[in-house]
Amino acid sequence: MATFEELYRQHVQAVFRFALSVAGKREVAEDLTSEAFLALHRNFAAIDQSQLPGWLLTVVRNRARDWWRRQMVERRYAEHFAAASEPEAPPVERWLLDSADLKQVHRVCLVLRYVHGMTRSEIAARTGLTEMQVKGHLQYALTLLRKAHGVQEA
Amino acid sequence: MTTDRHHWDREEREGLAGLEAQLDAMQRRHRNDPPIELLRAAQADALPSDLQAAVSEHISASAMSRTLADGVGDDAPSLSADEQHRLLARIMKEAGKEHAPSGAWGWLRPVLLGSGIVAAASLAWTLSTKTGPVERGGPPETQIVAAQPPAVPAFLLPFEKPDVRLGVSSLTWRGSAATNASSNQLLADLKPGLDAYRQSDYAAANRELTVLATRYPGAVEIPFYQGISRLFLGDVPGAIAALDAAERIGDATFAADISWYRAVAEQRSGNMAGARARLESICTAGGANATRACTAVEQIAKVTANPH
Repeated sequence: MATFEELYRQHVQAVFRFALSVAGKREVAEDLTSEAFLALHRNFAAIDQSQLPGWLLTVVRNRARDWWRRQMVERRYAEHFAAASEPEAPPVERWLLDSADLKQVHRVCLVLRYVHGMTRSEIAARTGLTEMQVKGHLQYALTLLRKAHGVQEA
Repeated sequence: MTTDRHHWDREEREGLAGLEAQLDAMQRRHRNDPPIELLRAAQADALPSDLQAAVSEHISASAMSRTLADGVGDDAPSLSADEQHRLLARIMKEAGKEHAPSGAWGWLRPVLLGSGIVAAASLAWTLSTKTGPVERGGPPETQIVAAQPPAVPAFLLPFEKPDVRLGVSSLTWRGSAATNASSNQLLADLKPGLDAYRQSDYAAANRELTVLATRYPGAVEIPFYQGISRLFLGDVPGAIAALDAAERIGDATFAADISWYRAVAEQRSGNMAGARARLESICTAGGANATRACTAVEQIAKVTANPH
């Protein structure tokens, strides 16, 4: 049977990444990760270790729901998110979604920058990447975009 | 939106010259899309129910939002060694507070002082600490704080990680345009995802396999291990979707396992009737998973009859 610290070291990265994905903010993800392992510490004697990391991820998910509930009170989120209002996607959108040359990280950076209109620092905050990484991914993706759409180099 | 093309730098303006109309059209198409943090939370079923339903519906209809919901792939951030140490110290400090006798029982002190039971309580506490000391930095040997574990159904189908195996069609895959008969690009492309799966890095496995799903629509391993990875990640709707895709491919080698894990996913989604129907089918058909399916059907029946 593993000790608490062994389990922490074994699962903390997966739990943190999951927490970041459900909360979207690094500081909140750290709080959720901390709460999950604290719950594990409280229940250590009773927990079936074969249920990990699923048990920890469930704690994170439940706490994240509470967190989002509080966000909903503080901030009004639209209750209905309309699907794309124009039926025909332009060629650049189809390329962005389907091109095998793009990695997932390039797609996300492109969408956040040119569809959601975010600054590089906003993209970094929402993805956990650094601003330099975001800049690099965008530059690379723009090069591919220019090639794919025949845009003349300046 | 906080920026538009008037805020692009010179490199962007030059690089995207001629595409402005298409980019504008893309922005108009997606102006009502949920923000990325909501999409990612919905992907993990981590939103309150009303919001979850609205965002999930949107994700199922929008390829653009699915892209954002899948996150940044291999570049997903992690905790540095220092951050891990700091977080562990914080957890142990909090745990220490909870297990400190004065803190945990402090709220009772005024009541006990007033009622004259202090001596008896002190004696009881002394005895309990002698029989069950809490080691500094270690796990608690006695549970002083009654913590609530995550809510789970009374009976859960066993969910074990299946080993990686490959179907014959993948092992012999050559592709339509292969010029080198000794190469198998499918196996090469599968390797990163399956390696991540073997190492129990399910988020990475899911990402790698998701990228391959459209490229190799006939490779059953992709949606199957994608489904298992999503189950481990707690993304039950995603797991069901992937296992559905695996089932549609109709590979006999994987059929029994697909059906079993689909039942597991159905149960975890709360669809007990769907899980039970699948299990009954496996149970009566015989085969590798028949025994445990029959046992599960029995246990589900008991739980249904006696929910407490």
